Amino acid sequence: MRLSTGSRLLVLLASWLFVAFPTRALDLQLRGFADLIGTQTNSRLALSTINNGAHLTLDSETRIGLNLSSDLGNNLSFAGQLLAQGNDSGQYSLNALWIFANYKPIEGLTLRFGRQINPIFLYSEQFDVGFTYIWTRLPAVVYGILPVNAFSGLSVIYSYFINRIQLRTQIYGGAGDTDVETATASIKSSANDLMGFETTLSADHFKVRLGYTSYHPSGKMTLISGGAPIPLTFGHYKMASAGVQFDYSKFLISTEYAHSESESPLIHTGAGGYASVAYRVLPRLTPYLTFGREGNLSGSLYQFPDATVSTTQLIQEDNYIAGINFKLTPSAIVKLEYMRVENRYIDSSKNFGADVATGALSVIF
Amino acid sequence: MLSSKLLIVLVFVFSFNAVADIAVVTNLKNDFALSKEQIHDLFLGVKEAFPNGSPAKPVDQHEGTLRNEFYKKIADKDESDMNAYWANLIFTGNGRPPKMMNGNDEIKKYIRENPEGIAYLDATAVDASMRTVFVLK
Repeated sequence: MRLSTGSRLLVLLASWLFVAFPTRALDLQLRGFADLIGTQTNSRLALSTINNGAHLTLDSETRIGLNLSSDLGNNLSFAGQLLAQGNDSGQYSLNALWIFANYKPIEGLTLRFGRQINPIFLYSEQFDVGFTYIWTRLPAVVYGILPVNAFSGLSVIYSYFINRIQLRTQIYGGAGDTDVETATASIKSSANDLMGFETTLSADHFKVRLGYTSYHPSGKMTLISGGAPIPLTFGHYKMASAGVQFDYSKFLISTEYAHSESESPLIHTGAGGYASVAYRVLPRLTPYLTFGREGNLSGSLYQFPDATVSTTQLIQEDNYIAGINFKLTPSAIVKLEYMRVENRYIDSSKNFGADVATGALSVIF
Repeated sequence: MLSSKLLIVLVFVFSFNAVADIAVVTNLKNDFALSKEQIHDLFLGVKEAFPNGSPAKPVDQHEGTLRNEFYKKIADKDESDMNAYWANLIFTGNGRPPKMMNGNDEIKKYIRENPEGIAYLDATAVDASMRTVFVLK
């Protein structure tokens, strides 16, 4: 198992907390989650459209997470989350998804320092925790298009109430990084001058989130065939999003839309959105339908540096999803999902349709 | 004879369905009352202070009938719903559930010693060492 720098940092910090504070004063809580996901498809091409281009096997999507949090007193708290996840070669790596400290100087105001998830979408912070959403995986037409999902930096979070309605705003800034593996190259990219904000309005039965983020990506590409790393600059990248969740009686409705612009043809420019309706036919059983579309893309990192990038450029991707969510126990959910993928390219001979069946077991502990 | 047997059966059945009142209690130093909505907000981590601005630290019962009944009454959520609710907050780093305590004795001791404490008990277990701020019927 490979340990990332972030996970080593989290282990070191937890060790220091144990030594520096009496156990009682630490008020430590340890929680966890796991997702066992298996997929069957009639086309390997469909796999590249899901989960940031990762090939779908039982190994690459199955994951186990551990969450450690501590209330240190004096309005200071700490939280971190480790994720063990496999890859296509069957090896597991351990990464710190996020690790940060919160300081609450006054009621409603939080200053957050450390590695954090870019909270631009409705379910961004829940991406790896299948137990918290109805689908087997979050809709790729929105959640697959943000190249950098985490950053290290500072957030200022303020929330206040108007009667029973909570308004929460997070303004953040820092720097992010991500690694992208393609069939022909490995790209290590950084998100410089990353900044953004999200505003969430929530009440008993609905939640609305608006988000915006921008940064200047740069990186180095190493061809699998060998040679010196090639420096890359991508110009300015920005994305805006809007999402609504409505949860009332037996209905659960979610819809999101995201629009991105990039000065570089190598990074997604375009828009994606989905609408999903679920109906609780029984207290434990909830079938759902989802339609998603992503379109007008100017390019894709995952195809670079293929010389035929202009002809393999994706014009539109449609996802038709039908699934069932069954609460096995209060802490375990079984999900079965079918998805039809329809992709259209500039070169119509590249067009394809595929069927993807997914089964998942999501638990918390 | 038949009626006495029927009475015994009815008593047996209703004794399992009977739901005791649940008392929400705080330290004797607190002199405020709380509404059902305020109790909801404190126990679900929406707010972290009492209406007078002083910090609130709710504590929870272990899993069981009383806990399930409490959350059903204040939030209309069952155990599974509550797990999903807290998973949303815990695994995003945005909140932690109330600390669980081992039974009424530990909860009473905590409430007696901590002015910021708030808890819930079967109403029949409440004594003069704590203040009842709301009773859930």
